[in-house]
Amino acid sequence: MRHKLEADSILLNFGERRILSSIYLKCETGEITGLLGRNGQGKSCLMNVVYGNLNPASKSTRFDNISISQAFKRPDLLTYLPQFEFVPSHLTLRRIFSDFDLNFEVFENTFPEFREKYNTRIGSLSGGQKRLVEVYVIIKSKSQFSMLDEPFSHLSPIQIEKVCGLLAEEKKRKGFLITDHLFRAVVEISDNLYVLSSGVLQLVKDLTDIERFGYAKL
Amino acid sequence: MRTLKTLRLISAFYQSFFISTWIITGCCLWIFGEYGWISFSSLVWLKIFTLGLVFFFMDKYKRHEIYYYQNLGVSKKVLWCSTVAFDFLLFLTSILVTYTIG
Repeated sequence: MRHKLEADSILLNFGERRILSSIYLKCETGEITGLLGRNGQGKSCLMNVVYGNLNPASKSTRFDNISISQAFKRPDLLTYLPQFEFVPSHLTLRRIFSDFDLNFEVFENTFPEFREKYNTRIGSLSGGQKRLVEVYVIIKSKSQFSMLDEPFSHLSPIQIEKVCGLLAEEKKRKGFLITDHLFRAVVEISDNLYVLSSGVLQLVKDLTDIERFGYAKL
Repeated sequence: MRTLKTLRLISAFYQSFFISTWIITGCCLWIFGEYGWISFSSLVWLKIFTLGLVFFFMDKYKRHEIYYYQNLGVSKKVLWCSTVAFDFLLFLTSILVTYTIG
């Protein structure tokens, strides 16, 4: 059965400034939905609104047509990778993988650079390694949907390739909403694309729309 | 199983700041040992005030970590209510024990 996440009727202002106004977003399991937009257009705000951490003037977030305003209380439905480091630095990889019910050996086989790091605190890893662990646990988390805010930042090209492979594998059982400025990678892996511009979310029907909506030159 | 996991996560969150609150509790116990019940109400207010300070600084400098717990099903409200309640109960129990053995 395919599950559906929809968000619409979102109205978000910061003081006089309107951030989000005309939004209709749909994600389905089995698909990767890409979200593009220039800096400050409200991509992270939109994700936080969907997650329930940011309260706009109005919003409607639905999972299979059931309205859920505080999705952060339902990790079985939605998990969220924010754009900053979020794992407490005193936790070891053993503890993190145990909390997310994940097998470290599988991770180690995909990323051999983590051999012998099982009992290492995440705080003592490099920025790229920390990000990779965070991206991995959210992609593999046992939720219907995951939102990934800049998952490729701090990662090397080979790691990005492996993460794209993981996304392609995991989308068989869940849905992803992903935003990153490495837009060519996002375009390549996405089944649907949106561009957020001036608070309005536009569905990309043709790749030339990305240029037309003023996000990037192809 | 779920409750055990939630407790483990709350304990991980408490580990981020317990040293500062335990030092304050230790100082309060020393003052209580010196001055007795006359200092009790002031110590309670001191404890409440310092817990408020801990909340303020944690919310300012470690608020990003809340996403870790939210991704595992524990909300910010649950984390703060349970850890503050536990820390305050620990403070009251320590005062009681100090009074009993003193």
